[in-house]
Amino acid sequence: MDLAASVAQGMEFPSERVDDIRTAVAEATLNAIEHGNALDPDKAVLIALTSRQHELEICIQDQAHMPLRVQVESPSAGPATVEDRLTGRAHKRGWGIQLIRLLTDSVEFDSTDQSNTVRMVIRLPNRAGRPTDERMLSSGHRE
Amino acid sequence: MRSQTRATLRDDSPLTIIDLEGEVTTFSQQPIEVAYEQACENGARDILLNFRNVAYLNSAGIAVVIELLTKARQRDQSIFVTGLSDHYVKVFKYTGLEPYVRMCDTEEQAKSAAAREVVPGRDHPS
Repeated sequence: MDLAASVAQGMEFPSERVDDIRTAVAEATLNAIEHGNALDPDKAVLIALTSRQHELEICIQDQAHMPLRVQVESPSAGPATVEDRLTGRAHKRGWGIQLIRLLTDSVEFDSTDQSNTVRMVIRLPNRAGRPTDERMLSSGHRE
Repeated sequence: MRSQTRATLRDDSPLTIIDLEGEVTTFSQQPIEVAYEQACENGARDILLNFRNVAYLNSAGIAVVIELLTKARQRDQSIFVTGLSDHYVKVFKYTGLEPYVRMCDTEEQAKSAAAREVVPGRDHPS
């Protein structure tokens, strides 16, 4: 979490985006430990940071005690709302993936029998406060 | 490693304030619940959660806040929040919590809002 924040600071991300990165990494790592690895201390979580000219990519991979595909809600169904959670229609927990989606520019989930991987990309804003490479917003599979 | 949360009750009429300190995570449920139940025993109706000394709040901590909101709704109480950093204000807004809590910049602002508040169904003195 702190390493990702340090790298982001080194890339001159604004402080509010560094906070976003810190939270997104913490949530993805927590998911990997709690759900992916089912709190098994013998299973590792790998975190890879890739710094590019205009973006930071962060991959977080667990060792798949439980496949991530059963945890990630269908995007078409939409996330549970606060009202759903207050009235018992949805579990009160389960904010992590929703937060990751909201705080990063793109996120992809991949699951195999060996591992679950969350790949997040956060782009450096240009002077107008927008991601520097607009073309990337429409390329590939994005959440 | 378990994070440490301290939840301390303080009365500042018309508010009952729960001062939070440390980290608000899944491990915060017990101390926050204990403080909240004590506030209820004292007859609290307007409760302020003070996050000023909270260094870290995660999604499980948000779930703890939701749990408290559920109980507060059942008891016709209002929940005020203050002391959140800009980042956590954004997290509250993004997660859709904003309509369910009164977010205030300062304790004084929360106090004024609570003093002015008229909640339907409540027998406020005129």
